[in-house]
Amino acid sequence: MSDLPLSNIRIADFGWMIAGPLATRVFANFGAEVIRIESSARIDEIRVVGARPDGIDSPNVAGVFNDINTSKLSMTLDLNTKPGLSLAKHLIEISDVVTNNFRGDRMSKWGLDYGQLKKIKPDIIALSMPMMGSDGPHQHYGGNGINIIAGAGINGITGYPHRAPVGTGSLYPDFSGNPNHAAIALLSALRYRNRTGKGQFIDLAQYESTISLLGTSILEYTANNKIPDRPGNKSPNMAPHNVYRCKGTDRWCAIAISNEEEWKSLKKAIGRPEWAEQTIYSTMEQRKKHEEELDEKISSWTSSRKAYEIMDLLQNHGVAAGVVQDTKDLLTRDTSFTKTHVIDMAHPEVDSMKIHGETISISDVESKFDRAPLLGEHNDFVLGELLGIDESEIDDLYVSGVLR
Amino acid sequence: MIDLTGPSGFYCAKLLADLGADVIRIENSGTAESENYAPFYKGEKHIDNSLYRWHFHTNKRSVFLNLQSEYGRDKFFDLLNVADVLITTEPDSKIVDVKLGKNEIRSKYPKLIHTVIRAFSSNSAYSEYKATDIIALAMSGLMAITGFPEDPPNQMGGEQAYHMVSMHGAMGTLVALLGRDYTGLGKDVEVSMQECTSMATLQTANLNYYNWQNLNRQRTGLNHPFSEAQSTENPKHYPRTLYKCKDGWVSYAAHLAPPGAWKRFLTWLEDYDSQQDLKEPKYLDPETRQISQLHINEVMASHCLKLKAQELYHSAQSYRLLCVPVQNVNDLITDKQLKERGYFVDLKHDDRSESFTYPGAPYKLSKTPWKIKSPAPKIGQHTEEVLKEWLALSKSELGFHNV
Repeated sequence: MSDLPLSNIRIADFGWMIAGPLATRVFANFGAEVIRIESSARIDEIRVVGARPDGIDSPNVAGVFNDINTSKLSMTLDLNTKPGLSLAKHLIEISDVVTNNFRGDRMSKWGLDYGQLKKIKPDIIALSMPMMGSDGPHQHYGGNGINIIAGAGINGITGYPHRAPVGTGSLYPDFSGNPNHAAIALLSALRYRNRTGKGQFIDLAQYESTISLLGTSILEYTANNKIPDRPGNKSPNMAPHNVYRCKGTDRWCAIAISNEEEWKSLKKAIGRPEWAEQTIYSTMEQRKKHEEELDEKISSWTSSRKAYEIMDLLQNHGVAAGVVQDTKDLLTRDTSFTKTHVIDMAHPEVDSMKIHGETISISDVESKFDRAPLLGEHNDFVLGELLGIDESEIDDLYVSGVLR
Repeated sequence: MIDLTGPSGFYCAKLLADLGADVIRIENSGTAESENYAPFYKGEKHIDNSLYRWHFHTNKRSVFLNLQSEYGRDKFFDLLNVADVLITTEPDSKIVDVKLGKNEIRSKYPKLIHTVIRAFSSNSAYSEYKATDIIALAMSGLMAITGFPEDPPNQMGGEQAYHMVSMHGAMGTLVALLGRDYTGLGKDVEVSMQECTSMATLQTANLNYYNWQNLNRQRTGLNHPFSEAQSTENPKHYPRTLYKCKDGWVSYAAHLAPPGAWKRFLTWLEDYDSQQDLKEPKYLDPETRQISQLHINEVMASHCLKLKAQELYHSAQSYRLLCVPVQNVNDLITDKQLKERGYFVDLKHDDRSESFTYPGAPYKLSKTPWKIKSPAPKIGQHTEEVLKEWLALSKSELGFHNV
């Protein structure tokens, strides 16, 4: 598919686990040749942890791995061998971008830090994304999504003030600021290189990149000297604004009223009850002030109704409402989500695999969406086609254990 | 770039503006009311004091155009002629004011990239449904796994659905720009809050947990959200993720500890005489540790209660243990690492005597660094400047329509 917008880009991807590989997913789906450089000597853990089909012992079938590595190629190389490292350098010579999310000085031990990479390929764009960045007194500190979200301050503004700072059930930074900011930085650096011929180094500290998602929290402190508290499900700009208990076990519907027009629509949708006409609910300020009672009143209306019926009714009146959906809901109830976003991926080792589709749609461009690569699936292609190594030499590399 | 977005797209345009794009917001007399978002500087409710505006509109310029007037629409179309990118949000779009259909944009402005940030996919049955941040968090599956089981599901703080969709919108815009560099053709780019936010669930609530094991992930409070042992039969096997300490909380991801971490963990506990019985050889066996997870949690919990968050943090990290405190804004502002790397930036507001400290670069690019050059504009502050620059209009042509 040579007409894809990134089809002339090649990425040597040393990323592992989640944040690194997820950053290059968008490149692969839009046509870039993204080559995972990995090893069976030290298998990328994400190939084996998390959701796995029962009874299949393979590094190719884990759900998360397959989700974040669509349309990529895999090459196995033991970088701790001289020939292995030298092959990696040959691949870098013909690449546009080199990415990694190792902690500390892993890349420089291989001689693959930016200074060295630039000697191999002067206009290379290199992305490094350790938790703390590439310098500073804590540069060697380690952590994963659970730690970064706590350190960066998102736990501090999530949950109820009287409860522990619960954070989120997702290892959020691994899926949000870190891969996405990395992709944005890489795309902008590519455009700069195309215009000027100059490569550059991108130092993404996952800690900093997640702090950049705090919204107004920093300014609230630096301009107003206020440390933002955990707001529960409240918003400073909307009321009602919460999830409301619905009929059934643990069923909830979120409702958010942004302005007076929507408040009027909500009142109409719920049958203009008397309580709603009281002056204590007549303006946003008033509703914010009496939010607890207001939430109780709305709950008494929602609790005897089904969540999806409430959502449909309110949305038909122009009110923002949405069911708190879990995985089962997304797969069995929200047929639109399944149709527009969930891909049934054919896989040689598993009967059924469900993968999140590409989130970005571009007119007249059909993004690629190939299965994530089996471990080492493209060794022959990369060595033969890209590096021009002949078959017998490739055989030797297999025998000597360089390609493991 | 022309930024015609509502809140779900603010960060998208900011990302591009902070990387050097010339982003102009089209605003008018209604903006002061419709976008008067809290919190406010010193609590004084006025659009110029909106910290929301300060934060999300850095580096942008504001052009006053009433898109419901003919003059406003004409000038808007002229701007579209010379713009590279138009960013709008749906379904609350202001683009309806200019009475320009989607297909019309494509045919009239073939080079323009039009990025549309939607609540739900345009192919969804919910395409016309409205969503604020909390609605998208709910519908995406992220809220169902956030909070304590005994509480209602929690929203994440800081409007993360807006951030997720905005980042994907910026990625899509840049992909389309790179493509246009070769083809000369603009594109329509679409992202939806529901789909983009759902990406954050793909580990703990991977679709295949349900597909393969009928496992329907729910919120787990302080227990690790994707413990291998998570099952209703054996809830005790959860490792914890957060521990209370003397002056706050620390996160500790024992579950994900690198190989060899158990011994380093014990050494760390021993330094504070917190090890209890964990030195017994039976705990060297990972399976024993898994069955004894609840006990290990308790040992760790009493260890943490003895110490302050910052001491736990630095001592654990010296043993390469993955421990980081729950930090608030004050912790961040005073953090040595952030200070040394110059993360926070001070920005002078032209109309005020003080400078204010803003969050800094999400990434450090060595050649094309992220930078805040100017604070959020006043409504219409750059009308004359932009119309002159972009459309080469003279002062007399601008006439009385200016404001």
